[in-house]
Amino acid sequence: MKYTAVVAGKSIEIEFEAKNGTIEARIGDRRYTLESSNVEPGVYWFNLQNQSIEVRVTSAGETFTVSIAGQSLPVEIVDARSALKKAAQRGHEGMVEVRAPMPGKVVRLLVADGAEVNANQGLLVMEAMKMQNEIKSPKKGVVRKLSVSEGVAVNSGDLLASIE
Amino acid sequence: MIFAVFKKVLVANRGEIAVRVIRACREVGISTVAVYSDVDRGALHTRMADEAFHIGPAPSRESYLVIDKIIDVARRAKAQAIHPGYGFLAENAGFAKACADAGITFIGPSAASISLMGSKVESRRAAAQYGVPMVPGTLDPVESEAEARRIAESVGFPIMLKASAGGGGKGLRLVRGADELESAFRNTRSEALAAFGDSAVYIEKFVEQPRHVEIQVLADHHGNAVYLGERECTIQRRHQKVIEECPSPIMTPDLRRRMGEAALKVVRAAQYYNAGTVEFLVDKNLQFYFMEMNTRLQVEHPVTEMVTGLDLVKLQLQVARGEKLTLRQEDVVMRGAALECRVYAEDPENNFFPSPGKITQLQTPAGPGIRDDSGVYEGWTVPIEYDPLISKLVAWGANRDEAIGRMKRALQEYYVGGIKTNISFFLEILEDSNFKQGFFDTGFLDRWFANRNGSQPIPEVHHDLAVLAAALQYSSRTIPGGASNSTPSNPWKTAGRLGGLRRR
Repeated sequence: MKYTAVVAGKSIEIEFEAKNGTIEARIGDRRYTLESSNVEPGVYWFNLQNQSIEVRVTSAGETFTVSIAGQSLPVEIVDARSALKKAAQRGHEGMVEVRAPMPGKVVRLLVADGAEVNANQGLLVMEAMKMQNEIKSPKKGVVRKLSVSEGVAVNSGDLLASIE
Repeated sequence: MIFAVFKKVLVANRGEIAVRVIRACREVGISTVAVYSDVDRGALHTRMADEAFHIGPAPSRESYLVIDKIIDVARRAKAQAIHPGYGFLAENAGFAKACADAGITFIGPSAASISLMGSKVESRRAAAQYGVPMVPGTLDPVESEAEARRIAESVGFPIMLKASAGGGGKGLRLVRGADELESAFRNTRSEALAAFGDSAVYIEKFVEQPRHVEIQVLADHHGNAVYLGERECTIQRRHQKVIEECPSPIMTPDLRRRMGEAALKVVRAAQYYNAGTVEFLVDKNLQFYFMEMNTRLQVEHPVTEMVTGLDLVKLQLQVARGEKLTLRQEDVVMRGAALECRVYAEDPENNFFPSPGKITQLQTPAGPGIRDDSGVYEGWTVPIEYDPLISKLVAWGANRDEAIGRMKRALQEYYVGGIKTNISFFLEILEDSNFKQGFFDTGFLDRWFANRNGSQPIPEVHHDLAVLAAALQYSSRTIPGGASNSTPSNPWKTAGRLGGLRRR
């Protein structure tokens, strides 16, 4: 199987074949042969040259947070199909979605629909656990759609606004 | 006073402390009543209690803080007593009085003790009358800037200005010299008025390189009281405790006895019964000064339990039933050392911003010397409305080094997926050489953050295996039976959880 992973903005090619608990993998230009077992949901045990290594994976969409030896790494996986989908989305030239970085409550809107905003200008204020945090515009543009109103509770990843 | 023999206790709290109290009750055959808000439906404490009553919407001022609702549930459930845990209504004298008026035992001190110790000025005045050492300063609120200047000069700069009604690190201001006094005095008063509705401010000499060391006390209704050793609570971030331990690395038997006896004077001054905590500042010359008394079970009580072998919640129940303490001071024996790490749903890489949300994976540590007082489970959504404490991880060892080693090992076993936690932050602190030597003061974490090396780069092989695991996970969910031999659920874990919750 062949995928592209994106780690810290850099793409890396992955190819692997799994047979009877043994995995042959190529990651970038490095090759590995290892034993693998999906020991619990989201938990992989690897035996790499008799080194016992446990890796935990949690996911939000196509982005995974991988935890290994006490460190964590965000990894995005792209296959041929989702790469096509991505390209199609880019058809909305310059439309950027702003999503909630954490669950919380929208306490204040700082801009209105149709307002012109600069990059890093505050769009709204969210509150989680009594701490307030300003959600900023990722780019200069026009607020095309404010998807939330004041007082509304949102979950992590909910659409807050679109900036064109 | 007539004491009720109670068979049913309402726990007026949530999260890990509600679970802690329910466990103690169950161990002694007392049935339990949980209360919960909208977002706590199905929370661990509601699952573990024998009965559960919905008390309103998520905001605590509409649920956990509404005295009438709690009393009403206690009446309907026919609970004879209420345990308040810590926080919420635990130090609310009005609540203690409402319980008494309703004929329900409040598992805590009298309303009068709570009121007295809840006032910074009154509690210091009461303790001073019993000869408890105090930081030099004023007992009465300071009315004018001129008076403030006169007092500051007599005790010597630097000084602290403190709002009488403040607490939890709020309403405090350090004044280093005479030139800062005028604006500091004005600002502290107006902030105190805005934050607490009371502009009263008093003055204390600033203790340099202080440590926070508190004494656990236990007193009954019959005038018997003991101290149960100390807890070292110096490791704080923004005046909130982060790691606590027992014993304190600076403690000697003589200092413990002197601090313990001073704490018992505060107990007498407050006519206190129940478990309680007397907080002291200890300076670099091991002089100690009374700060305040917490009239409730403390968050960090497990480290005392590990070292003394006592169960403080059960002792609270005995005292509330009117029983005499059978424990004498000479029976209190401290064995080994214990540490507690407060595991929070917060992101140490992003200024400790709260990280509530759904716990998608949870592996809790176990093994020798480990205790995890948790309020969550895999699949639970940590609500945004409350304190983001998810568990208190406690490690015991024959000595401090062994306790630290066990804590590190347990933190490495601990995994919480789906939300961020401060587990990695604890692992970094436990590696600090000053921490390991027990050499610190309340400024420790500020200096530690300033000198922090930042996170280490991930080794290449770990990076590659992480990428591979993400790809395996991706393929296993896009292709049925994909590259991995995945199991849809984990029968062992499910069975273990059910077993843990099964009653009687």
